Amino acid sequence: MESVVNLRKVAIIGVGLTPFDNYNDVSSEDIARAAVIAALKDAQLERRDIQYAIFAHLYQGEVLGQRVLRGLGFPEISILNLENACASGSSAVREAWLALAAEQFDVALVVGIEKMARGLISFVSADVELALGNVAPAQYAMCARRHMHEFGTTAEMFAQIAVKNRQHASQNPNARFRDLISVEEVLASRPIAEPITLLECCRNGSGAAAVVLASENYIRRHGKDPVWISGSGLSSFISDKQSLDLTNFGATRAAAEMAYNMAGLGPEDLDIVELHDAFAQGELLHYEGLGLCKKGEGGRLVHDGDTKLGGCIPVNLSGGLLSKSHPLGATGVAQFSELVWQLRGTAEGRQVENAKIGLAHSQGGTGLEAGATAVTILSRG
Amino acid sequence: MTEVPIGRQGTLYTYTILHQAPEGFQPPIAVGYVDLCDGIRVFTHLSPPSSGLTLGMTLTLRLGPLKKDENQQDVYGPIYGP
Repeated sequence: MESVVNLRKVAIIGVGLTPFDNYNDVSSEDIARAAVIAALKDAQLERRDIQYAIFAHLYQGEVLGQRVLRGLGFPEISILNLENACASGSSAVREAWLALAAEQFDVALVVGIEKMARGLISFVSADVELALGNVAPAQYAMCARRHMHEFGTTAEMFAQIAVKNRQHASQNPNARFRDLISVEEVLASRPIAEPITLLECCRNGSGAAAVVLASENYIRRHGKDPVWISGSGLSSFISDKQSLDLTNFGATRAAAEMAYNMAGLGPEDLDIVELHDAFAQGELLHYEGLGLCKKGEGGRLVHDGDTKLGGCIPVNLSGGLLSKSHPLGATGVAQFSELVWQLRGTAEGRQVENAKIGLAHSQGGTGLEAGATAVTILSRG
Repeated sequence: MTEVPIGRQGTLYTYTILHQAPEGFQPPIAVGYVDLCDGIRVFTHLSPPSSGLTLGMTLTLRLGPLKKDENQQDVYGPIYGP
């Protein structure tokens, strides 16, 4: 698809995060406000500098953004509330990028926020498979089972992903679960949807993340430190699932292709990746969808340690959803915090030396393809 | 929309045993995708044989209770088993 307008360059100039937790006694508005304040401080901006704000969430009620910013005394501002399942946060970053790239605003704020209870996520959906019990863990479990059958992938390989992400989390003070775990512990934990065990599932969580984006003109005028958005892709497949290949995340592939093409880069150019590991099994499948390896070779990537800190393409240095938990609307935005810290060289304890190019991937929805997948490529220097 | 006869036989494409299920279901439950004629792949409940489920195995369709509705009445649907 050829671009019909010239898009100007846009960068992230500030990030903020409230570590994910329970927050039983804190309102969702106050959780979000903490992230907004942190991101404004990081960008060294005032409230009046923000022209446009997008709030991503699933379950926090109408006009959430207005409620949050009114409480912070923001002046007149354009506000959009956005829902796109578990890819809401990343979709919001994409919308802000587009609005700035298309010269509608110079500075935008994106906030992802969720306050959640325990248990399976409930979707208001007429999906016939969901009604029959095809919940998210079942979908990933069936993908994993087929992958094992076709490519010889083992339960240990999936477990190693959970172990790796905890190792990364042990060096991230913002991660919620930081104790090291072993492959044996992962495999022995309670089965949820075979072969997925408890320690291979992300937990529900509450929390917020925020990023500030600005146009190139603004950045030059105000001397801000940019992490550029080089590519962005968004994809949904809404098929009847006839002959659906469950070893292939088509929407991940499509969104990644859009982002790579726009950036003029390929998977071989990436230094770091934050991807949607709602389940350890999903992380392996997304390696292949993002082109980090060929189809069927995800297990080899794990076995060779390529996606660990110190490997050739470290994945989920933040600890991923598996270690941070998954406050739905916040998850996609929080990935940008980690990538920006890494690209700035300030991710103490888990820093990838000389990281220049990073990729964020998030995915959600009812059904593996009838959802949304967003991929963003960031670059610095 | 047209009706298409699907026969009673199918081939198991993939499956999982769910130990945590939405309200109304009694876990553990076996669910999976079964390949029918003409390239149709359907999500369905399964009735595992005593020897366990194996991908590629032939399964036969019957109707049975899947879950309880809000009035504790059985909801019937397709179940593929040996």
